[in-house]
Order: sequence, then structure tokens, then C-alpha cells
Amino acid sequence: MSRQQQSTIFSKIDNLDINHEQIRDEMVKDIYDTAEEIAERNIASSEVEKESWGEKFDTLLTSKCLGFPMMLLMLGIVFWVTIVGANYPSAMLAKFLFWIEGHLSNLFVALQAPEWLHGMLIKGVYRTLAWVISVMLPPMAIFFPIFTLLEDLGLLPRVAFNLDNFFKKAGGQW
Amino acid sequence: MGLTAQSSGVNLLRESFNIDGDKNNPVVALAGNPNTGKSTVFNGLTGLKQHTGNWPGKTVTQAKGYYTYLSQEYTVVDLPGTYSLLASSIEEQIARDFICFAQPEVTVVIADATNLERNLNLLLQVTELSERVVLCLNLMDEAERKNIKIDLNGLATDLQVPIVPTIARDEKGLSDLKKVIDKIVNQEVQLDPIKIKYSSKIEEKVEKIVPELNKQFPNLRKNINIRWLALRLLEGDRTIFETLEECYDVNLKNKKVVERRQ
Repeated sequence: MSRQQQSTIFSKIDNLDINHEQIRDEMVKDIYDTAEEIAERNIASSEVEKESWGEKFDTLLTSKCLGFPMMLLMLGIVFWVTIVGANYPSAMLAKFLFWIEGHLSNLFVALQAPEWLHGMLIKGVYRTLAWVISVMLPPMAIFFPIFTLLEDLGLLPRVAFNLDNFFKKAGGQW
Repeated sequence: MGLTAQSSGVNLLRESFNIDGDKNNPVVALAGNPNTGKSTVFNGLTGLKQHTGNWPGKTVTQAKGYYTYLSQEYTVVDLPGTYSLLASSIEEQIARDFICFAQPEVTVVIADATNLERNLNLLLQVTELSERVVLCLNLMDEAERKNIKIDLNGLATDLQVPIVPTIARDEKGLSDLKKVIDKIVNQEVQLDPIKIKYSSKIEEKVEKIVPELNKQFPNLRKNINIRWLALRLLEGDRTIFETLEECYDVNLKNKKVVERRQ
């Protein structure tokens, strides 16, 4: 398969003076037309199926006018539940963990532990840990399960579908 | 086997596609659109539990497995799910090159019975490359549920390929599929599937290029479909020769290695 043989073929094609893109489009069209023709001849779908419950829901969630308000409302509820709802367990956790801190401090005093050790372990390590847990754990324990549910219910994919255009405009995908 | 895979050097070519040529099994390629249950058919045939897919983030892997029917072992290759073979994406190129160059004994096109029209496009492109094609109509239960009635006999007449309705999820119809594959491999049925007739404008040009190709590369006819090659050249694919050279160079190199070993 020498270069010369190849260029002979190529020049032959060039001599035909064709627009490759146009030819390609025509080929694809011919393929699709053939497929359509065969499918039409051999398929009978007896009746148009009624829109199912899921499809109705789908149209609602991805509709032009209702899609975004529904999305904002939904995410708004999730955030509201997370932020407001987390306050109560947070307060309880903090109360509990700092109650333990008091007792630990008492223990250190009773054992006559040096002040630097008490400061490092209790005021440093324990208190930081207690704050982080009481502030971070409840919102996470509320937010992520709800988000997982939204994902599994197919609501998040619809949000993604709604936002597709914006991501495209922002250059996030092509 | 009736097919002269070894003598034509296809075995060596297959090795470049990671198919063990020394097993000398007939190769069954599974082609189909994404989400037609292709992997389910693959798992049903081979019994291999395997997850394949080509969504972003997943690499395009070529899954293969084996099954035995009437004491003949077959190699099954799961091609990436594609809507066409026009080689505009890596997946399409992989599927096309495999069918074109590894020349599987049988190519099974798995189609979604609920959406046949879109799936037929792929079948029509596969029949341009290979004669030995089977249409596997999967998701027949879904089609029934959606009140879609398919005239299987009419479809078989129009396409001139064997049609096997399946419900791969319930392993229904897979033994029929194996039987049909067996018949084709043993050349008990001769297939002459539908070939797309393009507009006269295109056909005229094909007729001008085909003799030229035959003249310049008289040996190529043994390996690939010249009409198909002409069509690719017409649509402006200039890399096709490189792919050909690559494939047949690999072939030649492998041959030398084999000779030296002996």
C-alpha cells in the first residue's frame, strides 16, 4: 500500500469534485430514511400510551416556567430543614459534650495533673473536637440523607437537566 | 471451523484486538446502542458478571467472555455501545475497527424493541461491513407493555437477517440466540442481508472509485469490503488507509514473530 497508490486514489476522488461533508450528510440521511421506512412497515403501536404518573411529574419539574421555581423551592426547603433543624441536635450535643468536659476537668484537678497538660488535652484537644462535632455533625447527618433521597428520586438529575444550558454558557461543557 | 480464519491471517489481526488467536474460537461480537441491555445479553451468554459502560468517567473497555454451545467454545466480545459506526467518537471507532478488521464470525446487533427505528440505523451500518449479522430484539417485555407490536417475519424479510427476540433480563431467548449463532458459524445458513441503497448521486461515485481501488490494491478485496472502503473515502475519511496500514503492518510484524518462534 504505497504512498503513490494512495495518492492515485486520492486524486481520483478529488477529480470527482465532491463536497465530503455534503456526501456524509446524504449518506446519514439515506441510512435514517431506510431505517424509518423499515420500522414503519413492521411496527404497529396500537394506541398512544397515556402519560404515566412519572412522566407528568417529569414535565412539571422540567417545564420552562415551573422548573426553576420548583427547583429553588425544593433546594430552599432542603437548606431550611438542614439549617434550622440542625440547631436542636447541635444544642443537645454541645450541652452533652461540655457536660463531659466539666467532669474531665474535675478529674484532672482531682488527680493534681499539671496545668499545661490540662490545658493541652482538655481545653485544646477535647474542646475543639467537641465544638466541631456539635456544630458539623447534625447538619451533615440531615443534609446528606435528604440529598441522597433527592438523587434517588430522580429530582437532582432533573435539576441538572434544567441547569444544563447555564453550564454550557459558562463553558463548563461543550 | 468452516471459516478460514487462520489462513487469512485474521487470527493475528485479532490478537492486536486482544482476542486470543491461539484458542481458535469463533468470535461473536455484540454491537448495539447504549441502554439496550447489551451487557445483560453479554452476561447471560457468558455467565460472567461484568459491568461495562462508556459513560464519562468510565474507560472504554472491551469486555470479553466465553461460552460453550454443542461442545464448541465461542469467544464473545462486548463492543462499546454506539448509535452508529461513522467513527466520530472513540467508541464508534473501536466498534467499527473491530467488525471491519477482526472480522468476527458473527456480529449480533442488540436492539431495543421499544425503539426499533433508532436501533436499525446501527444494524444497517453493520450489514455494510459484514454479512454474518444477527438482530437480537431485546426488551421484548417492555415493548409488549408499551403495546408495540413488531412484525418479526416482515422485519426478517425486509432486513434479510435472522431475528431473535429476547428478554435478556430473564434469560429468555438466549438459547435461541446461541442456536442461530451456531448455525451461522457452521455455515448452515447463508446470509445476504440488506444493503443500503444510497442516492444515485452517491452510488455513481462509488462505482467510479471501486474499480480504481481494485486496480491499485488487488489484494485488499480479500480482507475488507471494497464498497465500504469507497464509501468512507467518499465521505472524506483520509485516515482510513493509515488504519489499514496499521492493522496489516501489525499483522505482518506478528507473522514474523511467530515464524521466528517456530
